[in-house]
Amino acid sequence: MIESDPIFRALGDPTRRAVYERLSAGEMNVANLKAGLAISQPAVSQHLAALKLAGLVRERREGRRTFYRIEPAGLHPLIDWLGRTGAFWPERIDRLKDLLKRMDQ
Amino acid sequence: MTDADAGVTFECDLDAPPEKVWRALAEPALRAAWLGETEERACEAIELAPEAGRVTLRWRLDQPASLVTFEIDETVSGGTHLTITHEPAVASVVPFTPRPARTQMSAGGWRMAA
Repeated sequence: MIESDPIFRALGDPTRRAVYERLSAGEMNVANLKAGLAISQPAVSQHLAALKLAGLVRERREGRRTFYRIEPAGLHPLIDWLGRTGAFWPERIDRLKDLLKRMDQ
Repeated sequence: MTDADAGVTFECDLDAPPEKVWRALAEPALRAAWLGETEERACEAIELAPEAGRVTLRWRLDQPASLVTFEIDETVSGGTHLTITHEPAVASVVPFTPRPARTQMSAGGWRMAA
């Protein structure tokens, strides 16, 4: 059973969310990531570890260097959760109502 | 989360006759117009029962895939009452068994709008 709790915990921290957002630009190492953030390298590593634990980020080793990138499937439990919690269907029902009006013409 | 059996249900009244709502639910192009292109591509209609007013989609945006069922009924004022049920697909564990209404429909020679 995939749990969404670790994802909420991981993305609940603003700094960690900033790390995740920076990674959406593409694969980076810790030094690249640190360049855009006002935190120490060990702090970046700690945030990356939490994102990895939540399944949101994947790492790739190349010799002694480690690169990080976003794991797109990591957000699936969150998308499931949104689908189950009412954010999705009421919005779609509004769109269906709009379409039905347009179908009149 | 341990809500593996949990499903959600939404109900609403639409100011359109059931025949028209049926088209918006059953025709892939119309369905994509309100459901979303991504959603339409990721789902598969596994049951279309016009007489029962029911459309069931295998919803592959969830992991594992879930089921979304639309059911329509005519209201006293000639509008449509729509019920949407989004629930885990027991069918992904147990082979899908067609419901009686579906069998009747196949026998009736119903044709799917491509």
